[in-house]
Amino acid sequence: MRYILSLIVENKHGVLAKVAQVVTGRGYNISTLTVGPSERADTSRMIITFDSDEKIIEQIIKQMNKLVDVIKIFLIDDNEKVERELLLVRISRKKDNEESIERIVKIFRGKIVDVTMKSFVIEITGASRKIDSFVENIKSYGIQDLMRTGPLALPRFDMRTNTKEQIK
Amino acid sequence: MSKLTGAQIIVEALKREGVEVIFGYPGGQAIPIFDALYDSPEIRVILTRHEQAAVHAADGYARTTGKPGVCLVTSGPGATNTITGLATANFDSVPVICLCGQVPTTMIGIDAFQEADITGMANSVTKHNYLVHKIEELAETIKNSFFIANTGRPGAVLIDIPKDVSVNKYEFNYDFEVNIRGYKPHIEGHLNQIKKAVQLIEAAERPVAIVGGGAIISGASDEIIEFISKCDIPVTATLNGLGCVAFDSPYFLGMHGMHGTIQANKAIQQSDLIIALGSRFDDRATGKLSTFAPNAKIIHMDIDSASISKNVEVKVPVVGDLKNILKQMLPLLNQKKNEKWMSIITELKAVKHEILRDQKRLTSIEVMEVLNSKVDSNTIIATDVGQHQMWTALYYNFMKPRTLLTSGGLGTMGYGFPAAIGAQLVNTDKPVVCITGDGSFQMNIQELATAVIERLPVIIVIMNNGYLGMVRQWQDLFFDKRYSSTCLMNCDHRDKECNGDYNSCMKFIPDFVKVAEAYSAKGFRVTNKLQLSEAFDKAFANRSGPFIIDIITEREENVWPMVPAGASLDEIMRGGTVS
Repeated sequence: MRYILSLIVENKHGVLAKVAQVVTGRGYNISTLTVGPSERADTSRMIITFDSDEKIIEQIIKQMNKLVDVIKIFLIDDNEKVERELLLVRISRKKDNEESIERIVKIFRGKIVDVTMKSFVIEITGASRKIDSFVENIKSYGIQDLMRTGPLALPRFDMRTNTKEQIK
Repeated sequence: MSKLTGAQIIVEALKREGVEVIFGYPGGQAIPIFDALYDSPEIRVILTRHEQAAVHAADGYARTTGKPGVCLVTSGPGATNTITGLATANFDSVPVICLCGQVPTTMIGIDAFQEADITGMANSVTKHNYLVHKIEELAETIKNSFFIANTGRPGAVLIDIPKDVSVNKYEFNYDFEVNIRGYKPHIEGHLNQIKKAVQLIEAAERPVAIVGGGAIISGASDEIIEFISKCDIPVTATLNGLGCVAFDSPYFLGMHGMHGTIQANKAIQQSDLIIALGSRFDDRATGKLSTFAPNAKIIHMDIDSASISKNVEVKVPVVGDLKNILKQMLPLLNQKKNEKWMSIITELKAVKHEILRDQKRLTSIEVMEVLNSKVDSNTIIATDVGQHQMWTALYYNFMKPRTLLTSGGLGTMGYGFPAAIGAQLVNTDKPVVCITGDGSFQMNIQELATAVIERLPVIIVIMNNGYLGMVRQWQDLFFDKRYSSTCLMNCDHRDKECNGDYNSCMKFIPDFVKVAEAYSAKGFRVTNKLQLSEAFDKAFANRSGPFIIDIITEREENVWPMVPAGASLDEIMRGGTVS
């Protein structure tokens, strides 16, 4: 099952390495990792997703929580979240596929952001599942390069009261 | 306010933290810090002969005092040599501060001479680490480091200090409160959880308490004794929990686990409630997890919430400092007698394993019995890793907390002697005995120089069987006696099988008595009981420097009892004969 962890961390040297070390050192695998600025200049937010089980996720959360540079960590509730991922994909352009590609892009509310004689570059945002489904649909047209950001996710409610001390 | 150099700031900060001794080894990028220490008679600097030993010595100092041990090394190889020491300390939750010199900030990343990414390397062996980028951060970093090292679950903290940071100047200010927003350790136990624990304890018919290293770190020995006496609960210890409850307590079962006593392992397997007090259910302590204490519910009291339900499923977790938790819990508990269970325990204690005596050479029990007759309850024991470590755990009469220094988690050979040095430095009035093997001792033998120069009367008891004994035991039991690379005497074991004719081998390699002489230390070889007693008398009377007792022991004695790796605690091998 996919789990989405949200971390608020110190915006400091070496923090990403420390977080990654906790995961790799214990033999777990990160599915996606997104790091960027948060609402405060001195902190960063990480969204890390794992394809894992509950027991392992509990251990990961506890171990990450022990890191001094991790200020807050919580599991994002799959039913109470807003999730967005960005996809960029370059697809081969052929005479007979233009129309159907445009139609699929439109259905997924994506954009064709660049065109050359030989390719389209398409941009799609949405929940990861939507992007999975778009990729599935577009696969047969010949994907040249594909890049996904991994999801960003915010809970629908303020988690600020959920401080480090309360999460065990 | 006058400005100080970074190095002077470090020294002032260490003084404010009450640091009285630093174990160190200098080098290019650390010279400014050593230079500042040259002007500070308040802090004694002990020059070890290897950086790994400096960390172990700081570790030994910390385990006996409960205060952070401090070491100081240079960049590059100096720093990388500390990794084993840091991992050892951190694994056993020992507060150690390691200060490393680093190349100047302007040179970081250019593959400069003696540059190493030590914070990157230290991530998985420290509780936390810092690279100090600016002198403005230096004092706060040091204060935070001491706080992190010795609160919550203690551990090792490394501070990497580039040379320009230690030579630049800045105002020194240390009068501020530590406030780290990502680090707020739990101290008090949750009352509801404690009440749930009380219910289980009062309902239990066959409870067993397990004390771990956390019990000793927390200083909870008195509360634990009150608890087990009040509710009539037999108690077993992990390796690092030894000393928390005296060996002669009617409740004490000895150590449990792979080389635990029969009564401890059987009691655990028969129990209906395990109360873990600052222990983390290490695989060497639990045996096969799926059959560990199959009928027991588990209460787990620990300061580290990540230790809870990591290996075993816990019914009632209580997160907090053990001493606090027990203080909160004791008034809620009713006095209780478990006569039926205690009589079963008494029966279990009657079951014996093989104890080897009266062989050609001295055996482990004979050495430990003589030692037990010579020590007092304040004696500090340091061990290395291997058979002698397990024999110490099984046979030595531990009376008090903080009297055993041993690498439990990481299992670091070479730990014992430098740890004993660190312990002896601060425990000047107590005898410090390092029990070691001929393999382990050679891993940090160079520290004889340190001990001689500092006039530390550490007694080094070498149980010398000419083998890497514990590995040889596994080869004996599980690898058809194929003693691959475990004999320390035989030169040509590759070409032919050892015929047991030890006379064809080196007699002593090395001759530890001559090694002692070479370092201006005292050395004494022992081959029988009479000499053994005499040697210990001489050693305990000697206060001027290290004293080696090289005991020639039975070559192929095994540690019994033994639960093979991966087996259930029920499956106890007791040796050839049951006596």
